[in-house]
Amino acid sequence: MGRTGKGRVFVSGLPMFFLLSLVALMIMGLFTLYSADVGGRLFYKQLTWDCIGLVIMFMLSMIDVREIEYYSHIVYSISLVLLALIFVMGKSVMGAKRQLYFGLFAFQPSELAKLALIFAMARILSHQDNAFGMKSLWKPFFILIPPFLLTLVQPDLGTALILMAIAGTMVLVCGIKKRAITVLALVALLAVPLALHSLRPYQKERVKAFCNPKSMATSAGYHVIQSRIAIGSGGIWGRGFSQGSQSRLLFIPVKHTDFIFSVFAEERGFVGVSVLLAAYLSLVFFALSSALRAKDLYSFYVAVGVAFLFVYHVVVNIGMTMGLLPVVGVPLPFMSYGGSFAVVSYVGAGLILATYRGKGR
Amino acid sequence: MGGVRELDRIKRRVIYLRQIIILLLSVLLIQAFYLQVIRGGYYRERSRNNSLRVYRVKAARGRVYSRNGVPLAINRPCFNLYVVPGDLKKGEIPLLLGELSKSLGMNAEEVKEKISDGKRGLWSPVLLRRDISQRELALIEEKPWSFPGTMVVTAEKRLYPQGALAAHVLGYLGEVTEEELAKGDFWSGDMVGRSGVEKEYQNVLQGLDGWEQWEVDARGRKRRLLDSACPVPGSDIYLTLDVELQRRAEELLKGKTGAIVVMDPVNGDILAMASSPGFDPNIFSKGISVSDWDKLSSDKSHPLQNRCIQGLYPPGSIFKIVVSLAGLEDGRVKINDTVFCSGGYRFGGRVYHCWRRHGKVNMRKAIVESCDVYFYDLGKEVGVNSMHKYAVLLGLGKKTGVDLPHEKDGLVPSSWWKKRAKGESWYPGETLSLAIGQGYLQVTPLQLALMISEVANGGWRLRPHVLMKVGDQRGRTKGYERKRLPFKRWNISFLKDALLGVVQAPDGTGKAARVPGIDVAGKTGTAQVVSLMKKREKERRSYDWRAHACFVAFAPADMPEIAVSVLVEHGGHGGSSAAPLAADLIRTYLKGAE
Repeated sequence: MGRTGKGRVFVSGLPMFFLLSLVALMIMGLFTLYSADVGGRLFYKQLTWDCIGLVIMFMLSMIDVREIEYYSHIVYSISLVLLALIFVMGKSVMGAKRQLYFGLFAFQPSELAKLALIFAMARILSHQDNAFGMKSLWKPFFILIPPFLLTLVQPDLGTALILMAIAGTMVLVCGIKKRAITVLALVALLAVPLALHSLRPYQKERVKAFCNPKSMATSAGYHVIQSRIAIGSGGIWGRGFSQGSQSRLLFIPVKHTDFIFSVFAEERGFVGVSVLLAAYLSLVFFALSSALRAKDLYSFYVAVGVAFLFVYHVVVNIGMTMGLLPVVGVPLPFMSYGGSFAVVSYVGAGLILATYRGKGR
Repeated sequence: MGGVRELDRIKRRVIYLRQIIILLLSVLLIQAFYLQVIRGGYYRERSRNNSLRVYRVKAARGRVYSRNGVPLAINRPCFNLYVVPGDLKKGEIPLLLGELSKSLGMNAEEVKEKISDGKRGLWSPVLLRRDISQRELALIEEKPWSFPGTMVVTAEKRLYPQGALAAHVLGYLGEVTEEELAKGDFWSGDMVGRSGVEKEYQNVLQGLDGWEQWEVDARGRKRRLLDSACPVPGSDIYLTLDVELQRRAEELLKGKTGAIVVMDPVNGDILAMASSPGFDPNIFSKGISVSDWDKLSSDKSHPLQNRCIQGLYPPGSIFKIVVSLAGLEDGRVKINDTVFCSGGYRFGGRVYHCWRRHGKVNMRKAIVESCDVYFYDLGKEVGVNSMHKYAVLLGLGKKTGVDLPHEKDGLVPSSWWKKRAKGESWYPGETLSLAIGQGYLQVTPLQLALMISEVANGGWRLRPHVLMKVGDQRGRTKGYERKRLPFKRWNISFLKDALLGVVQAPDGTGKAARVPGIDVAGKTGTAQVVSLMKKREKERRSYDWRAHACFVAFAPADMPEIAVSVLVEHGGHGGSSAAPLAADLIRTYLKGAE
């Protein structure tokens, strides 16, 4: 790269600050993973995924986002088919069916569904002339409900809620009439008790544990308490690389995926957490400024959707590890171990880069 | 699609989006600040508490030896089987229960209760079985998958190499109770002394436990040793028991119910203390099973009871020593005063029998031939309270202070005692019963041994004891008090001479205690279980109503080296059933076993 004229444009056309944030996140993630899984293979596996992701990101950054609009419905349909396929040939992990196995690797269709939803929503919204009223709201609902229900019954409450949040944010950006908002709010208010009632037992336990972690010191509340102890014991400067006793002595649950932030915070302290949050902030802000540079509504909505994909993952994941939100299985972008979500994250970053470069405007 | 103006209008909303994002991330940052900076110290402390565990390192229990260094209680390594409830997955419990009841014959219900008890947390090991055998250990190690969640820990177990020998003196161990645990001196599963020397010298034997501080992980597995303190083993103790004599005493009591105490009359060392029936303290070391315990505790002959210090018997004619001394000391009688024994003594409209017609008797003859009429008369002269005074001076009716737990007081009646306990005044007739060692009078075999020892040594006060020394220190731990009893020497000398006559004189009642070549002195006693008035009943249940046979003796008479007290329950006459045992022991001790 950088030898030919074309290549030079390619490199210089990329925003260095964004790339720096991304690489910083990636390195922090890999280091934390190495320490969380001492001597294990997860570090190398994730490194492989990161490299594959970076390649995909650079390739995607060269396309015109508007071309995706044409394929939105196809991607959307494929993701629905894959989600449905889980019921037929999914593998059960800890009581939930979330993954499909393709020979060498497992794939999580719900991660693809996040992207597919963003594409499909962007397509609908870019064709919406006025703010949504009661009569036109069925369209985004029509897009949201199938993947939402399919993930909800897996059961994967976290992903389902994130799908809803992304779709909701995108609709809000497009505009929605006050009357419609009021009605929606009322419906949501009525739906809450119903939703709580239909939660699975383990989910109910998590919600209860969230409301009063000390009363559940052995089961669901235990994880949150141990995670808070890990984060808190990091102090200002952290306990140092591989020095976190909470992580080393296995007090942190699923520490390489959902609770990787606890490991990071214990080892790196408040200073590290600030740097991490700053990196996410710059990533997301860059995504929003890319959206502002977009010359068409479709690219704009895609960029906004991807930005909030990251925002919600960061907020829900970190909020959960610090006891601000109930425990739901949501990974932390560029940090948590997992191939499907890593690839989705890099695809998102690639789409932001493509929007930023605004090819074919 | 909207125009450029439409796009601009929508894009303006991104500003709000930025504010929302900053708000959300700020909340995260503030919470991180709260957890890490404001409460960082608190959480660091909790993280420490999470991973630091202090484990106790048990101190080895002190061993117990006889006076000649024969081991009586030692420790042996053993394997204890534990289960960690947290290591058991749900489906594994029935598997484990099945395997435990099949291979180790354990009660599945009991085990299940122990596992699901969970008082001390999921990760603290629960003791399933103490001291598993080599065969059981091999079974577990052969197929560990059949015993999920279990672990075998090496520990020490109390072993009594001589079996049942001196079991009542040694005592036994038992697991600590919940109440003792609540006081905080012990750990769950600890074995502590429950009786005998094991209980009396628990503090000496137990030593000081050490500890180890470990870093543990979330499953409670030890990862790193951080700090430790070595345990201080308990001290060994040496008892005054002579193993040969003890063994002989127990052999002599075999098949009988009774007690034997052998004492060194010079210093109060207990050379042998046997109580029959006995038990094997080894069954307690393993943690006694419910059925074994039921068998022992419901046995009508009370094998766990140490009859030497807990059995209460009327001493019968042996009490005449006390009455004689009281009469002589109080000056109520001269040794040559005579009484005519016609085989009975009329008093208060009732006839008190003597066991024979003795004719004219003085004090010496009365002691040698055990004439009751003489002592009815003397008792009446001396009175109940004077007899009480001298009995107590000689150590009867109160704890001897021997270093063994659960000693009984016994009872020497007095007029004020009767007033207080029964609310009645003392009847003169009761004085006559007391004068021949019957009635309310109750003493332990040890008290009798103490009394005869104090007579034998010429009136020196003794405190009987079983501890000779602690550890490898030089000399003795317990000396004896050099304190004289307030008796005139010539009175004691007279008594000793009379007691020699009991065994050596042709008409003596204790002829059966003679040992060729040794001057043995002694006194017989026949403790009536019921008065002669219930003769008919006595005949019907002849064994139960047969009198207890007692005998006290010391030898050699001029320079006593050994004092013996023998009691055989329902043995009949003291001279025939108890005296030969005393003779055997004296011969064993002074001449060596033949």
